[in-house]
Amino acid sequence: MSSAATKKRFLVCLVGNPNVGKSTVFNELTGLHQHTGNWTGKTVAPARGQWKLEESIYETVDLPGIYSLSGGTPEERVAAEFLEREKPDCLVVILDVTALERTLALALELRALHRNLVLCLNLMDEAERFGLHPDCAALSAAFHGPVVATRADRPQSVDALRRVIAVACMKRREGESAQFGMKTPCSPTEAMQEASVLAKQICPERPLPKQDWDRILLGKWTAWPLTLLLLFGLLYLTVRGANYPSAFLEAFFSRIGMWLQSVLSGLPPKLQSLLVDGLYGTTAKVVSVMLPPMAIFFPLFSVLEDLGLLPRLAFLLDRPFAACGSCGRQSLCMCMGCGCNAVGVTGCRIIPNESERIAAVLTNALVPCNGRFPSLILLSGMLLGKNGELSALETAGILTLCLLLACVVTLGITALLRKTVLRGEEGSFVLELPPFRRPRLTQLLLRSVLDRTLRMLGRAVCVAAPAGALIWILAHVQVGEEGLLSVLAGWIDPFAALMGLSGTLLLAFILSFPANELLLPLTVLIGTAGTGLVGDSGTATALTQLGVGPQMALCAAVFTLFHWPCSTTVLTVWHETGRWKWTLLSVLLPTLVGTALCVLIHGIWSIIA
Amino acid sequence: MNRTLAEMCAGEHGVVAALCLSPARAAPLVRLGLLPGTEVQCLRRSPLGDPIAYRFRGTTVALRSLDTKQIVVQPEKVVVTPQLPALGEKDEIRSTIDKLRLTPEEVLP
Repeated sequence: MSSAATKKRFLVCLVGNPNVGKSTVFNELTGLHQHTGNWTGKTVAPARGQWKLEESIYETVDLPGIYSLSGGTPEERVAAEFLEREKPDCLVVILDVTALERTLALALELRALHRNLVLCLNLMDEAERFGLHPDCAALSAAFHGPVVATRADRPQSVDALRRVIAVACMKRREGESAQFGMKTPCSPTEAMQEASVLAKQICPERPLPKQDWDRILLGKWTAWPLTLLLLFGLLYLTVRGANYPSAFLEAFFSRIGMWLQSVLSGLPPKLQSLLVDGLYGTTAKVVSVMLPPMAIFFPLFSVLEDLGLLPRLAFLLDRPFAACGSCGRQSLCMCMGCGCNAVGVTGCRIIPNESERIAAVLTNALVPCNGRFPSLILLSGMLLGKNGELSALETAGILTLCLLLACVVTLGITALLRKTVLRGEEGSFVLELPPFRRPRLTQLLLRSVLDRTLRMLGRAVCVAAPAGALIWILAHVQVGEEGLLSVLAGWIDPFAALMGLSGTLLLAFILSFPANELLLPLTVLIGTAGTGLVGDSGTATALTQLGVGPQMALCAAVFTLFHWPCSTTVLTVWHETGRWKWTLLSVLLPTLVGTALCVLIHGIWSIIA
Repeated sequence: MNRTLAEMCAGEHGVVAALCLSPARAAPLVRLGLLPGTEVQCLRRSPLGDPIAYRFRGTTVALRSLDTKQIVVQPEKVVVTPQLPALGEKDEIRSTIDKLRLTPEEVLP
């Protein structure tokens, strides 16, 4: 037989309860970097990847975590339909050794419907720490099928899983799968009871995970100070750590700018300015301002996520959210929104109640995303700092206050929505609190830097470069005496003045709709009518020269916190809700909040001053 | 003595006797394995009093008192027949109450 003929394709499907490490196994199998994290409901859509073993290709699908096949939740329907339609050659059921009783129930349910199961006992390293010794042979006998033990700390253990999958696929093709006893379908309840008996045979020990950390982190008096301290620490490290590389990058890009100018000196001056000031300048600014905080914030956030702190936050905050007609899970969406609002909006799928989910989607943009941090930092420095600078400690404090304000406004708006357009029954709150897990640092760094940071940066650059060029052109299109942009800025100036902003700033807000990171570079570009960002003077100085005083800085900071979401987020909202009504509302809500607050601040300020 | 899950103190053990909830509200709990006959341990209250974390079937789950007030538990030593209804239709609840010799006032709101 030729090699082309022997090349076979198999479909392998990973199923299991939420948070048993399916995505981690999937990543190890396929070499992809699917987002992993220690909390239930993280994987929201099936992910596909493939790997090769001895001439055969194994297409692998990572299904969202499910508890049963009864179809009670959207994930369960997706999973059940997928298994029905695609008829995978091999079904890998991932079990959590530390919660064998619960995870076995799904395996038993699947055993009744599918012949080709491979059981994967995951998290063996955790089991060892708890002193568990599961009897793999007994499990294999109970299922008449292969059982593989894998560990999170030793990726090589997945090699064994690969070989077992390959054998199972082959047997399936050769029709040897009859050895899997086809039982009559069993209900989830029956499966649960059978699992309980089986789990006791296989692994009689049932230790309680250590409670020390929970006692402190969820303690009555310690929980709140610790949560605040954690938030503050996260922001402090981000701000402090970002200062140096930011300054370095700025100097570096400024050098390259000069060099570019000298290289391009042969071109006509207009074109040269377009390329250097417009296109290059804006991009360089966005990268130097954005990259360092992101490269620090995302890995730190991932550590918290991997540890298992996010569900505990939801546990702490459920009461206030319940009072506003929502549930603690919304706080998880807000945390993700703190990284990127589009991700936060998609993350709202973990909220099972439809009205609550829509409310969480609509209010997500009230939490400032990472792209808005640099503007907030700079503006707060201009407002409060000596010489326009604040120490990292002070800046982190201000950012913490900003986030707390965002939380309060989110709660208020959620309550308002639930009392008006999104009325409905109070949903239940059922959330697993996973055991603390040690983050896998190399994996984590790779994932958060390569995947999240670079992808966000790529997106920002793709938007910044054309936006910079476009703005430059707009600034240089002459309408009568003035540039088009100054004319536009002049038009909206009266309205902006009401909000305590200038026409230039408001125009920059409007034009940074594609990406929030663009705000300050664009302001300077518009204000200076496209004549240069590549100078030595910093953005703060440039803004002061544009007449941005303390009151305007405050209003701009507030409007940075609360204004329309970026284009990607709006698209995601439309995708997640499927209704124009909600999409429009998601734009209007934060805009109205921001406008109202700005008008209020401006009013109070002018009375006092 | 029969009590509800919400009345358990931190550290206490018990066995679920009945879920007196509408099927829609009981479904997420049943999915996680909170069935009649399941051993439950109350772990801790959230600092604001609600929700409360419980441990059953090898996992820790946080539940609101809104739900746990409707779940009847027995002291751990009592053996409960596993055939008790999982979902609380009114009639089933009544028969459960009869079996457990509870007064209806104790269970139904």
